[in-house]
Amino acid sequence: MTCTSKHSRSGFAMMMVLAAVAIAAVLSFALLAGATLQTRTRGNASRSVSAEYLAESGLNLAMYYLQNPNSAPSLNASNYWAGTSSPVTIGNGTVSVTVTRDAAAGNNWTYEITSTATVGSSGDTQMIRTAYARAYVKNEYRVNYTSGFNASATIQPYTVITGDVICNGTFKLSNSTSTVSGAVYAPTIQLGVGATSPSGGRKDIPTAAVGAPTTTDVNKYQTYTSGGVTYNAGTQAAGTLTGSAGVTTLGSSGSNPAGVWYCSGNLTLGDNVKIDGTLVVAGNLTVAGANIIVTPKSNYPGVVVIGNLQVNQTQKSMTVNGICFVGGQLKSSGVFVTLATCSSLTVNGGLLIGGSSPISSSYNPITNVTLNSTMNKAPELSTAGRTPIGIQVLRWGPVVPVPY
Amino acid sequence: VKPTIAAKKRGLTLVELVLGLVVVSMVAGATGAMMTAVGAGWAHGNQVEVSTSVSTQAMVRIQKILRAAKQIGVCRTGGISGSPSQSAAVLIWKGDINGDGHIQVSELALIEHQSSANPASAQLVCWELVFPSTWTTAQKQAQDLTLADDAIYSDAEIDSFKATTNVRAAGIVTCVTAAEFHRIDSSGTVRPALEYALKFNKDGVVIVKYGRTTSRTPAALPASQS
Repeated sequence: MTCTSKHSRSGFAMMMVLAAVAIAAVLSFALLAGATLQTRTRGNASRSVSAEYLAESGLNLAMYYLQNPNSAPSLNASNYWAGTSSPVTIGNGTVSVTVTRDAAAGNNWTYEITSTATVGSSGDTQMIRTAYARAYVKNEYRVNYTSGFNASATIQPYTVITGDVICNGTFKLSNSTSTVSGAVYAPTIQLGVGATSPSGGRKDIPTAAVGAPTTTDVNKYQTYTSGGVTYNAGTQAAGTLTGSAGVTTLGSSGSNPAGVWYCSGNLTLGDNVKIDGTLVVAGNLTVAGANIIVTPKSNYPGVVVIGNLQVNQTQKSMTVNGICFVGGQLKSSGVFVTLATCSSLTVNGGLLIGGSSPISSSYNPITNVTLNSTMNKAPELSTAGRTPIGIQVLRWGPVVPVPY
Repeated sequence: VKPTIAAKKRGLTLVELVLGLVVVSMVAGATGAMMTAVGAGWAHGNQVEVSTSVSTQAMVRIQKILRAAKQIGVCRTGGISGSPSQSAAVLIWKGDINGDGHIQVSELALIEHQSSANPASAQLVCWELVFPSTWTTAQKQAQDLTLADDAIYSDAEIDSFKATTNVRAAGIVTCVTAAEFHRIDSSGTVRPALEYALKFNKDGVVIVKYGRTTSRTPAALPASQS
């Protein structure tokens, strides 16, 4: 039996149709594949850029929290933000940040920051970018209180403090002549007979606030840097220093532009000593004269005494137009006779006492301490208790090894 | 009426055949033209896509180098059009790698435009010091001289740096047929920046891109530049 011509023509048509459909399918698939690839390329490019900038945002976030630790969601034991505990979602991506203090830098303010950003869902469309930076947090010591004590302190009679006080122990006002016109940041306050409460009341000590530097942390200014140049302090021999009325006893010079004077032992100041600069005494300082005036240069303290500061009675007087730091105790010698003949200590800037017994119970000179916003600046007074004031980016990018 | 066998076997007349061929050829021609146009559009789209991708990546690479720079030094402007007398180039202190606060030769990089008649060969290159792997530390230190703080602001330093032994150029982006650089820095500028315009020619598709990148880690200008 043979096939008819009619049957042959029908099969041919079917093959032609199938061939046409196959060609159309291949073409469609090719077009679709191309379009898909282009879409993915564009998406990858977009996600890549997003990831780059998201990673940079992580660096900026870390630098913000390093400058403003009080704004950070959490701080580690070393009081800085160590990074995200888990990836943070921003927009359509996430970012993980790690902050590490570089102990090898020789200071506590240099950090390595790593920020890894992920944009897109997992799989071959996900983009991951990592950014690196090394940052130095600029910092300074700020005197935010008129008086600061590291231990319980009793303010003796005829002592007037104008401004806030911080005390890391019980703070006591002995009687009606010892007053504080400001707030007292202390765990507890005690009032002696007739004493009135501080006008600003008692407040809790803010986180990380310190009363005063310790003698270990305080800067003795034996060398100091001014205008990028390092200078040595002048040397003042131990013993007694006296002055003449109207004459500067110790001042500044080209080799000592800040007028810093360092005494390695005990020093006694006699009448009319006038210091246009900073006096640093490694031992005890005794005020045994009248009309003593210390006026430091801007951004330097007036007096730094590692030991005790003693004011003798009677009719002795010292004015410090800047910060007065005492590492030991504020004390006096001699008896109070009358107000008219009583010795006096005036501090226009801030009085910081770091010792464990800040004020002697027999201290009796007339004492006035006033916070002065222009005279209380000593950014290098202490290596501890410092406040971040800015960021300097030391490196932007991964660590580049030294070529040799 | 049942058709006769003769009628069933009758073919097309010549006129019918010619008309049919004409219609088929017209349809085929139109389809072909449309397919050609679609194909050309597709190819052009691909070229634009590739050019855009190339130019975007180029900008990213330049940004990475400039963001990490400590100082942006002397700059030759070049030109995005015409025939500039000098190719665009900028000398940068790419980072204080050893942390000494001074510029060593190994810390320099020179981004320079190299033109060519063939767009595919026109490129931006980055000149850097590459020590031979066989060199000892002493040999490397001997060559890695410390420059004066303001040396990178001297135009002569560009040619001097290129002529330094072991300083080599590596391409960072191709198909750049023209480039123009402008340095933005002064004593009052907090963050120095480089403004740049790059003309790309990738497979005949010309794209001009503009950018401005600021240094993230600027070092203070030397006194002579303040």
